[in-house]
Amino acid sequence: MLDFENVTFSWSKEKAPLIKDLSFHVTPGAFVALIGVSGCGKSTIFKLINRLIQPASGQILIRGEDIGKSRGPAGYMPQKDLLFPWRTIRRNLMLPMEIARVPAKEMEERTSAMLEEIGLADYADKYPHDLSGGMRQRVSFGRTLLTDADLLLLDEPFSALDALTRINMQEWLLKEWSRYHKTVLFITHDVEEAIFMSDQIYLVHDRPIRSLEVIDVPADRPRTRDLLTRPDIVQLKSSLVDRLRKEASL
Amino acid sequence: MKKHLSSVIFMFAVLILWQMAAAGINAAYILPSPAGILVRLWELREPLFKVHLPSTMLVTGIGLAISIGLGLALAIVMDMNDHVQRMLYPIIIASQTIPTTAIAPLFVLWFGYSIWSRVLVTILMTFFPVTITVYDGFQSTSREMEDLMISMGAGKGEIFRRLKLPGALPYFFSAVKMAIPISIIGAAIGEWLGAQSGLGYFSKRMMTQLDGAGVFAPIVLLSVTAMIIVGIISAAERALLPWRREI
Ligand SMILES: Nc1ncnc2c1ncn2[C@@H]1O[C@H](COP(=O)(O)OP(=O)(O)OP(=O)(O)O)[C@@H](O)[C@H]1O
Ligand SMILES: [Mg+2]
Repeated sequence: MLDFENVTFSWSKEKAPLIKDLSFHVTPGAFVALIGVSGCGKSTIFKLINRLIQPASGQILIRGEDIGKSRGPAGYMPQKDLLFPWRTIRRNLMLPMEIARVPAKEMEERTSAMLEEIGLADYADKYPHDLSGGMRQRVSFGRTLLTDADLLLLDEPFSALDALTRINMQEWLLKEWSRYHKTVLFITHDVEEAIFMSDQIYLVHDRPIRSLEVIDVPADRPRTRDLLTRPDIVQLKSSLVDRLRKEASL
Repeated sequence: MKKHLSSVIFMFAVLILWQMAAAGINAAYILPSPAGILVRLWELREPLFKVHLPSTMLVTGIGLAISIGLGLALAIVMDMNDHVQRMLYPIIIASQTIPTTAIAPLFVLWFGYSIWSRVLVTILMTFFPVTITVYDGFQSTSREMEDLMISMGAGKGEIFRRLKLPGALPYFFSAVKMAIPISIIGAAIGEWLGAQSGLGYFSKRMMTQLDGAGVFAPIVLLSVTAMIIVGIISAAERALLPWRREI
């Protein structure tokens, strides 16, 4: 689904590159968590995929095609919900379809269906400031789905939520993911969240980023939170936390 | 209404003190009393409402319209292009250091006593706050929202229409509300400096006749008019920007 081929990138010519000769692959339909210490360049990888910035060299491919050729190649969900305060919930959901010039009738139908899907049909004509944090993230995720992209890039989508809402949203997101068969790349700081959600964890382990360490999560789906108390998973979690702490102190 | 109660009471207190002070001094050409001003406003209603108020409003209206148009256009080009911004911004700031009252007689030389000399004074005072406020509005929109739109495949025009324009709308309303009193003052100054009609001109004429209440009457009329128009714009703002109500 997604391929990085020898990608090099630096924020400025004077600075050493942040990403050097990086190659990695994400298989279609996978749920991949991207973890690494703060400031290591995770969001930068997303910006490259979104074409907000250009690599100095190398190629990024989505479904085997260079992203340079496509318009809005991936669905991006930022950490802050970034809902437009002057748009109602319904019209916020419509934004990606307006940009993609989806015909009005189809847009109406898909928006109404999505409002049902995210459980906010009663809030269609409210404004974002009327909603709670969890509701706003659901709208933001619905908007990301309506980009119609097969690849979803989620940048710490739940980090601003309280612990309980966060757990609910994790389970909700997994349910949505299994329904839509999308490929998800999910940045998180939270090792537990990464293990609970993903098939593979891609760990950023060097600077500049030359490769990502791939760790398979040995668990079937559907998952319950009991998984997190299984001995081998507890083991995996503490070894990952140790790795990250060592990275952070470098 | 309740939240305005204290300021209404305060205003009445000031007016009563004023009335008593005026009665104490007992020289209407130095300090006319509020009641005296109201009486004079009534006596002069014919020329004030039929000739001079319309004349001032015409200058204000034309000046305001041109200022808003010019301000919007400047704000848009400055927002779109950094080079233009660097070129224009200092000039726009510099234009504000020109003392309006000193340069206005020059406008009278150019345009005579036609309304255009007064309109020009109005524009000179008004376009600046409009330009700067609307430009700030464009700049205030979130960079992250822009990035999000780019990730959805939006081009520059799309970002302007769906993000910058609606995001700057509250700033636009602030600019207009600020511009209304400024443009009325601008028109009155223009009239004061050279005109044959208008409330500013009328006030000046009353001064030469040592008619204190007659000087104040058109001024009261001016500020009441400004308040009414600002009130209308505020109501329009509340109707058009429902999402701002409870923020
Ligand atoms: N717009 C920018 N201009 C210059 N440097 C930047 C910019 N954005 C990020 N950087 C730098 O790139 C590095 C990586 O930033 P990035 O946001 O990708 O980190 P991150 O892994 O997402 O961190 P976090 O976990 O805190 O979100 C940082 O050192 C940061 O200073
Ligand atoms: Mg980040």
